[in-house]
Amino acid sequence: MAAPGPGHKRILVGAGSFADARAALAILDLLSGVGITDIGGLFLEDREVMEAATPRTSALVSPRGAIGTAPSRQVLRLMWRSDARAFRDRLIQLAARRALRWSFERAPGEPVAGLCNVAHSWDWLLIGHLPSGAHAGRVVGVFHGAAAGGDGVGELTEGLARSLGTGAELIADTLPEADILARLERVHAAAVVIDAGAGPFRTAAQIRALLAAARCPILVLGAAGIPSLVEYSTQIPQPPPGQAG
Amino acid sequence: MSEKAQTEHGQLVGVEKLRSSCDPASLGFATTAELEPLDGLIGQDRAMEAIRLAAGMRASDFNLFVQGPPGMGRHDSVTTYLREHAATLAEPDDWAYVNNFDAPHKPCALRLPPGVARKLALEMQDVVDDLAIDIAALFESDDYQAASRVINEEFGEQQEHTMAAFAEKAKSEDVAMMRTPMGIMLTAIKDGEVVKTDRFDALPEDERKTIEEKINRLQVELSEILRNAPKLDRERRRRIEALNAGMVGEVVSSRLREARDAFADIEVVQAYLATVEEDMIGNAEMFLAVTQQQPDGPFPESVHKAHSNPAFQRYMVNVMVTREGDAPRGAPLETEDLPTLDRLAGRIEHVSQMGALMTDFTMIKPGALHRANGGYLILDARRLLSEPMAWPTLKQCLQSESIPITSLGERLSLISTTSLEPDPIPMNVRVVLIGDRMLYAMLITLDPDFGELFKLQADFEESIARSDDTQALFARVIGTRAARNGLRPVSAGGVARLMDEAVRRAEDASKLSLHLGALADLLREADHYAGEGARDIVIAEDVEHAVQQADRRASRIKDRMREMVRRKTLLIDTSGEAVGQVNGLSVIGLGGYLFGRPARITARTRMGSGKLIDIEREVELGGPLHSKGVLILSGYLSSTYALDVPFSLQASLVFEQSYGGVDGDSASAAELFALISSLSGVPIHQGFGVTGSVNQNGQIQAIGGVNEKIEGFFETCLDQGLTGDQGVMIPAANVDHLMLRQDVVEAVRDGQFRVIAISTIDEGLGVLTGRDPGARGPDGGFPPDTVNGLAEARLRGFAEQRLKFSQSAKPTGQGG
Repeated sequence: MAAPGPGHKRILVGAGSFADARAALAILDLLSGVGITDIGGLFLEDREVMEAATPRTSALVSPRGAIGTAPSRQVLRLMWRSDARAFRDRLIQLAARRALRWSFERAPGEPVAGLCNVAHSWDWLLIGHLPSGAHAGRVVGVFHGAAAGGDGVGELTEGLARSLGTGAELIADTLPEADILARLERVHAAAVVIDAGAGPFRTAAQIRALLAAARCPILVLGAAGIPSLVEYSTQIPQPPPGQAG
Repeated sequence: MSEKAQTEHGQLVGVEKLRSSCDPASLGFATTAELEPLDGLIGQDRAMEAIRLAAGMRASDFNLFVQGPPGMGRHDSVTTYLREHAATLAEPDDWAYVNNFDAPHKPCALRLPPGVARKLALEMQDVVDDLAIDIAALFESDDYQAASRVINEEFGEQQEHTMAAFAEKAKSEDVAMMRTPMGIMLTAIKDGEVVKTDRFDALPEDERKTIEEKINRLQVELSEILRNAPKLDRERRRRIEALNAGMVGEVVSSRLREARDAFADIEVVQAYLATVEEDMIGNAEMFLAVTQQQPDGPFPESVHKAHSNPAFQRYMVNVMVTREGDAPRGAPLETEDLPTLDRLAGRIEHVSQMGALMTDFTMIKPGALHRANGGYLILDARRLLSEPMAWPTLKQCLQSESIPITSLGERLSLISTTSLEPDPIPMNVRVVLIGDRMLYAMLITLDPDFGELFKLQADFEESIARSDDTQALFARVIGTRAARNGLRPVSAGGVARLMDEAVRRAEDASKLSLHLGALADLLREADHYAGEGARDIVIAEDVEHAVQQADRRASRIKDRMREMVRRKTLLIDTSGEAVGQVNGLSVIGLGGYLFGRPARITARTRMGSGKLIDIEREVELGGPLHSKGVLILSGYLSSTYALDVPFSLQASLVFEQSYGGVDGDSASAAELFALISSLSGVPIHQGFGVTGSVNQNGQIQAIGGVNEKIEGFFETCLDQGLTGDQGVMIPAANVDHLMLRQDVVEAVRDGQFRVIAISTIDEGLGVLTGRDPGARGPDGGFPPDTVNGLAEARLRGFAEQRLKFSQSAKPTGQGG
């Protein structure tokens, strides 16, 4: 796919389930020629789900529509562990195939917030979300300014759409945020591309709203512009000087 | 013993009857170059009528068996006639196998007008090549992309709208949608926070019930929405398929319309193309997939030959039989030199894929029956019968008038793999089997189907009556063969010498042998010698040289036997007299070479109970015909001599120094002479060789191999010294069969050797003993001093002696 100019891109993929992670990794696999050197995986275990999972106040519906009761804490732990392992394996496979450096970490927290907290040490974020439907929807890009292309969102959007064999739609961030979200609510999207450094979606809350509206993986460029709330760790190292997004 | 005495009973055969040579001057030409060519055979009218009938009749069971020994020109004549006849018949239809789209393991056979099968095969290749490009272009076209995108987006947005509405509704009812590894969890929120258990328990009862009710209701709604997604996707796929069918259908129909127009009048092709169209539209994505797999090569897409891709084999046409442009017109005439089951009825080949043997209709290969369909198939019967399952398969095809293809392994259940059941192709083939008479006899006797399926036989004559007309035809045949084989023309003398050889091979001076193959071999060898002699034509001396050389090459055993006689290892007397001993004559055959040699036959007699012992039979060296001959002797003796007393003879007969088998009755006369000599005590002149069979009335009957027998005894006499008293006694009925070597004829002409013909035993006794054999007088008895009189007296003496013996041995009856 055609993409913005080469560089040393570090991408962090985050998800709260293997199904979401797999959708994100599928998008990542299509990103070539953009100078990716490192990929990171962050599996986030939303403890609030554990708190909310009670029989009387919650209910479960599987992706195929099967009705179930809210999972117990033990089941949730087992599922998180299993999904995290699968996520890690798939990430390692992709890194090996593309000869990339990789890292992986499990952490507690809500996925979007968790990712945004560590986003400043990565160039791009890729937030996993299993899209609906068996066929690929269009790729939507929210570009900054009056014309697409200047920030790389346009080219990435077009390139991804070509790779997926689907259409692309570019939305200018000059529209009100609510209109953009309303539009995304109704678009069958395969992925959404935004630039956190230049567009309207910069904070974790905004990105969470975007994810809830789009219901598909979101590629966030300019991740360094997202406010950080956590310390660096051995698994998620501080970025080298001068390589921010 | 004077010559007069020896010959007054038998008939001395004149020199002119010993060798009926052809006179070159009577042929009327100098060389065969002057003669009109004569294709075909002479003297085979009966066989040719059968061949003509077989060629003309179209009934499936009037197949032909051509019988006769090798070298008669059977193959050539049958092939030549059938080729000419086939050229006058209509060209048969083409046959091809195509895919059965409903049941691929049962390929369909297409019957097509002559020459159409190949065109259809090429057309289908073009169709696939064109559509591989057209359909790929269609899928990549803006029209198609836009149309399919509209459908995808329509369904995608339909689902998204539903989800968006649900999300809105859930939010409005204070229910959060949380993603978990197991799916979406709906959970109640209050004041922006998840309602945990302790907080829930603190709520009023009605509020708790409200929360539970909405959670349950929304769960059902979300379940419905998510369950509906696959349905929507199926509907979307159907719409896409309908779009594909519509757009691809136009492309396919457009291209196949051209194909239909090219075969407008052929209904079966129209029907086939309709099934192809239906299948192509249903499998349009195959064209796209195959096109996308094409590697980027140096050639543009437009020259890619998509039809060679295995995925498109289903649309190919497997031509089983067709009439190519340069093929002879008319019905086919096929031969199969190796008539195995596969080569006869076709085969289904397999290829190994991932360790398994796979096949499809394109791997069906035709056999000789397919190629000959509508015409003639010539097979060698012996080869056919020696190939496993070939004969039963041919019979099955002829009976069913169709060609099913079943492999040997399948018939014997030896292999278990994917196989096909192709439509049997209707068959209309006239089969001509060429074999020898033994095969015909065995088949007609042992195989009840044979007579039903091969109602015609062409039995080739082995000789033709000799006349001026047939000699003229024979000369033309020789000339034609010489010309066809690139040999030199043959002089009249050469032709005459070849004709002499034909007479000798016919074993009848009044006939010419029709074993033209052997004569052609002789002619080729003679031509070689003519070349060595730098001659432009083949002359009589060349033919004679060829005959002598062929004889020399084959005569090692004969020469060794002559040597053994010469050195007295084998005891044969050619002079003097002996009682109960005569020179019999036998013929030894090895391949096509026959030679005669004498054998000493001795007889011993004494009083007995009427038993005649054939020592050869006792030791199982004598064959049934020989035993029959010996038993006839017993009948002759018992009914000729001493009729009023019991036959009281015990006699034994033996071929001295014979260690191999003896068969045939041609020595029965010689054996009878030895017996009568022994009985009468009258010696037999050893300068004679004797051949001939005898019946119970004492008549001498014809035998075979007379020339070789005479020549064999002549050579023995020659080795031991010709005296002028020597000769051979033959049946009078064999005089017409004489065609002796020139050296024998010269010896007779010079008075050094004789050939005497006899008709009865008495004539022979007179010749061999030099005495009157004796005939019964008015008193019923033989004159006392004659051979027969002495023999009868001896037998009567045996009877009286036996009577006395039995009386002396009779008990008195006075016992106490």
